[in-house]
Amino acid sequence: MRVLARTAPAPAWSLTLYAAATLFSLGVTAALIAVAGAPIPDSFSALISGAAGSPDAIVSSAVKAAPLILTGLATCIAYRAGLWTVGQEGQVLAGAAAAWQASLWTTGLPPVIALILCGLAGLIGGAALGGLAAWLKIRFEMSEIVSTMMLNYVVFYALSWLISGPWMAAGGTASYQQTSLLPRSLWLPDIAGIAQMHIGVIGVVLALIWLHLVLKRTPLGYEVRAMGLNATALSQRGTDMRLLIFKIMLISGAISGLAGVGETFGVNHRLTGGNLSGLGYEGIIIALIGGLTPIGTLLAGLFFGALHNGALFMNVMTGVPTALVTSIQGIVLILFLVVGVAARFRLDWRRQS
Amino acid sequence: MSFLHNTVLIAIFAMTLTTATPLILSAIGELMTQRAGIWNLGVEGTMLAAAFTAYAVVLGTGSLALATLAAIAVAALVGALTAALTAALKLDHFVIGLTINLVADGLTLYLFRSGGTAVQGAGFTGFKPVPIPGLAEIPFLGGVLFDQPWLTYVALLLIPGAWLFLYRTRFGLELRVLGENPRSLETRGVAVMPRLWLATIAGSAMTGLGGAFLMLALSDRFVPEMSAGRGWLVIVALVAGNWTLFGTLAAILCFALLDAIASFGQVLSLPVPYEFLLALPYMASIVILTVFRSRSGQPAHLGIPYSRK
Repeated sequence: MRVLARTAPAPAWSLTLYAAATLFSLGVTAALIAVAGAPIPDSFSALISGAAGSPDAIVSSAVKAAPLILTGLATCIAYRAGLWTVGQEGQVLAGAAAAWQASLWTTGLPPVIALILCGLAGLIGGAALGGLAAWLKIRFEMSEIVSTMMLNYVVFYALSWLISGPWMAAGGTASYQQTSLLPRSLWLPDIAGIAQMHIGVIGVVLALIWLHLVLKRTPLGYEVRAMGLNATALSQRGTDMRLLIFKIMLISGAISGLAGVGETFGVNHRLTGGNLSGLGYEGIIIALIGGLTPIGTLLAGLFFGALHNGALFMNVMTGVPTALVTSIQGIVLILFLVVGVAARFRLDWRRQS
Repeated sequence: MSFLHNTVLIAIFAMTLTTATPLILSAIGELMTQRAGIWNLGVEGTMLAAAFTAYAVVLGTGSLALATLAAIAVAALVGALTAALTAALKLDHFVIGLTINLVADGLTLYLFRSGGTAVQGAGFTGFKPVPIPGLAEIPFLGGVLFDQPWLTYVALLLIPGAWLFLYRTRFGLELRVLGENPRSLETRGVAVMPRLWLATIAGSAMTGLGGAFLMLALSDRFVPEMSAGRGWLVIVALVAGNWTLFGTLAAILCFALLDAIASFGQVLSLPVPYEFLLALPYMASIVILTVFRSRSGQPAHLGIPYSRK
């Protein structure tokens, strides 16, 4: 038996491999459920019915997916350009924190205007953090991987200080690391006709369409893709790389910041670090599973958002910890990557002469 | 500094060395891996997986030795997975490292929560300082250097060991060439693949030892995400130290000193928020990277998949 490189794509072989990867993921999931000591069939059925078993479940799955899709989109634009930022995590927190501060400053304004200002503050908060990493990269040639990861920790501790310190005066509870509830007028209203789906979800759809068009149809999108393919060639063509890096990191940061605003004003209705943690890192995995395209990110985001939602129900029903989904996400990505490699090869069973 | 009583200074410096221990162990390993050209960004997840393993085994068996060995074994397995994906399958090193971190994060949390009350909050007796008779009585230095857990002595002894290995042995030379120009090794008939695997597995095993120490000497129970960025600090230290052993260690001691000061923040009654002290190593890492910018020591083939053709 030999392993040979394929000269042409083979759809049937690829399909077989992806089916095998899916089965393997299901097997791993079942094994993990067994480790937790929960009944496997009951847990699976709870997972599925919690994710998509009823109209209500589908709505809350979509709401769960919304921030993941946003951090995924933030990942798309940066990674397509070969900017390996992992700052989405901190940018979600920064966006949420900036929007929260804005909500304190805008008391007395009409709710619509206050909400718009809070949303803008969130965009700016996330973008500022992305811009800082871009500046460190341009000015000091600092790898964005390292700078954004370090900034994530700094922002995490800064937020934890803000919540337990300055924002405590506004009635927060330090022990739970959360602020007081937002005034009711600042809760994002539900989309007309769909209970429990805040209008921030529309913002996600708009961001998705916008980014899809930007990447496909605009000079900026061309530069992003060209930078990812061959940055040297792009800079020799005369593109100002520093400006381009700034633009990409600002956009990526702003989109992540939006995720923080949506969660804070639409779901939690208060600022808590705990409910926002992991959104950034999971968005990265989701974007990678989605092939770094907005549409792929949407699909992967909806799928894993639904699983996250289903896992909550499963946790109630059979006691399986919700961290199951986080584990599975990473395992699925590794499997997909391996399958991607395997699809380029074929096995030759004939005896070697 | 007269207001600082001597014992506080000794305690801070001793604490610096103790908190530096997992970072030193991991950095020695990661230095080997990166000098071989494998850009392993999964240090954080590897350390976390090792720490959790150590916790589970010490609760199950009560044996610190078994817990340490199990942590090393699991970390080595993570290293083998990393090698399989990066060296053999030539997948993107950054993506693999990041994914391994996320899987480790999710799996340790999942298993920790699955363990129920038997696991959560259960304590154990960890590594205690072992004063070296005679040396521990030396004023100041004795308290700082010679009243440490035994793995700290091991870490300190491994520093010259790693230097000798990297710069004075044939294997060390091959390892360094591996990260610069693997083809030249291949043309001389030295097999590249087995060395890439070994460098990654051994490097991760060292991180595993660091994770075991983090669990068994620096903590009294498992806390989700307890590696708390230490793996990333190791990577930062490598970059700041320009991929030299002593530069890396200098950066690590700086992080560890800030960490130790944070632990003594209350005793010293510093007029800054506690969270600021906790964030210090990460802020310092950014400042350090703006100052130490030389990348001349970065292995030329770092993160680039190697194929024979």
